[in-house]
Amino acid sequence: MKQEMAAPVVPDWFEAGRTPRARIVARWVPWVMVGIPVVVLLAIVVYPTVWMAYHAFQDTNMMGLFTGRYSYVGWQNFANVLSDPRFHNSVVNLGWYLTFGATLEVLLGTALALVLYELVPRPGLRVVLLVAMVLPMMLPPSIVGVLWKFLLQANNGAVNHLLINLGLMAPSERIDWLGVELSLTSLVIADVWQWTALPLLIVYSGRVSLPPAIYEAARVDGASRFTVLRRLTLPMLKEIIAIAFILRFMDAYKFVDKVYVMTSGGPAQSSELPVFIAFQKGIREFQIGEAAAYAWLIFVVAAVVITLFLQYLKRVLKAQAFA
Amino acid sequence: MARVELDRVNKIYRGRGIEVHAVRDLSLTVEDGEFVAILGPSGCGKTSTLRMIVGLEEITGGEIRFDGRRVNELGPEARNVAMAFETYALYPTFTVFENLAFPLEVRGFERPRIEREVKEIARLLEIEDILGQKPGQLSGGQQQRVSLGRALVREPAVFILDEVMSHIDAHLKFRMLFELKRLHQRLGRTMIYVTHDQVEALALADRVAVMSNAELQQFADRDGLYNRPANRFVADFIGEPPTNFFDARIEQRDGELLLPVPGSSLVFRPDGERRRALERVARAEVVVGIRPQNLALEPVEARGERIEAEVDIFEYLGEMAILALRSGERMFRALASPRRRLEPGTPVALHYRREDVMLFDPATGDFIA
Repeated sequence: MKQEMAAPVVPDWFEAGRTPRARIVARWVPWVMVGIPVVVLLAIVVYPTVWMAYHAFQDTNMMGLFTGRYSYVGWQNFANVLSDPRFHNSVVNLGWYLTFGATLEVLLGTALALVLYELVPRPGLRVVLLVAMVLPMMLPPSIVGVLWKFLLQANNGAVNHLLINLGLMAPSERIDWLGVELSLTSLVIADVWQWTALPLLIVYSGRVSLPPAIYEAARVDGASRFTVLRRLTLPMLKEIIAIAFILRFMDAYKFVDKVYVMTSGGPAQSSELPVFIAFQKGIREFQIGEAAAYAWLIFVVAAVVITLFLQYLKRVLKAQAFA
Repeated sequence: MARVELDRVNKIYRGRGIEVHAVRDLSLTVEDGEFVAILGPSGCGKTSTLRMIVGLEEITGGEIRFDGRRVNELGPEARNVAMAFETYALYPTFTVFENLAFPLEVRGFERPRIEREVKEIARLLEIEDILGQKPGQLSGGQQQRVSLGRALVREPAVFILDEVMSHIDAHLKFRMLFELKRLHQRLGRTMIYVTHDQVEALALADRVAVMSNAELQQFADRDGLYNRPANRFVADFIGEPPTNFFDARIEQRDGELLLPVPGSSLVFRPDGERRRALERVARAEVVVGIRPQNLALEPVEARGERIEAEVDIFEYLGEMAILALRSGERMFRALASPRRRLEPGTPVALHYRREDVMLFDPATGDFIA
């Protein structure tokens, strides 16, 4: 059915005192204003997404892309990805990264935030420390990657030098931070160094906004500081901590920049994550079909996890009658 | 249970070069089992006083004793005080049951005993049906009762209530006041109740400590506050509508002492007791105070006196009406029955008893007689 385009409704004051020609132009101004961003959005978000969805089911490669010759292969791309040991390896790496990277950042951030709030008595000092701890977050991730790559060099890196000078390691020894064994750990170290400040900021602001009367009530009730922390503060911050975690969790899925700069996924794919492989396949090798399948898998898993999280959050907030 | 003594207690807040003397040389004794209200306008130091008694605020000077034992250095947990907060301060992640159980839990009570005592308190406060709910789901009145219950459950030596009625609507407040009074009579605990509302204070307390400008103005029961206010502030603050004050001259005429008010035709005649007191202080001027309740449109008794004025505004106030009156350039108020409506400009005679005339020192504001 063809739909008649309705003339835009404009308020009276908009039309008053305008010439007939200006009135015709004026009628279309809102459409143009809204139209431009919509077109841009379609061009850079919707079109590529649809394009990707389509190519996930084609055997598109570089040649195919340029000649326009590719054919439908059904779920073959997904089957290839799911049976690829490289993918399995990257999923294990992602699990490792989530456990020791994102989780460590949240745990460390929470601990630091609470220590800062509870044990630093002077507000001025607290702000100075807070700013100092947030500084790494201000740096571009790629620069952080370069910095840590320098620091972690096996032969001339500052970290190995430090360990030797502290007497923790023999002068002849070298730790190969960016080698097969430790490359993923090194990535995690750099990421934790940079991003711990985010959960710290979130949890700190959450703690600041908890009502002081509750803490006075707990003192009058005779609760020890540890009991207050365990029974009151942490349960009250539970949702805030969960939000901090989901933010780091979402970032973990698109963790490409530091991987690219520090290890390029190597050596021997020891530090590859699914997104990095998708990037490699798509932009480097032009295996468009498979890269699209990767992207789909990542999207589906992330969407499921985040939906579950949001439902959990809604339930908790409902139970506490906030929503 | 305990007797609470405050001995020249001072509180000074210091910060950024500013010094605020929040409580100045406050001395008062709350007897064991007594219900005392601390009443005063906001900023008078009543909450600071209460927080020092609880132990949430350091005592700058002086001493607080529970049953003769100095508690200045003890934290709130060691003083065995319980407090109900203005904002209730319920633990949001706990159910009502867990809220009530928490003070017992941190004291290491056994589970069966906790359950028994919580049930008992819940029955007393009629909150048994909401034990499984979280504070966020409760109404203001229910939260209020839970916070009272949390304070009551562990049998404290002193029970402290901070503005606990200020967030409750008028209807429920009336019921809660009654329940609180009944609760005190049943439990016989020492209770200290802080409020800015004189109705609450006078309804609940055996004695009321009136504070203003960081100092205790008067510590007395209802009659004392009404009939022998320590100074102009108390006379003004206690009673609704507030006391009328007039700057009057002292004149002897035909062997009688008269108190004419300049700028008006008002002349007050005090009784013999007040007259003798006035002769003792020997001043040329005095401040006359008379409560609106004590000015009546009908003659009060044979010995009654009268003043004349004209009606300025006639204001209905439910079961009473407030008359705003004018005599010359002086304005004052009286209470009247709302049955007879008086038009502005109507001349009226107001009757009072000689002993209801209160006299204050014009310089210091202190009560003379």
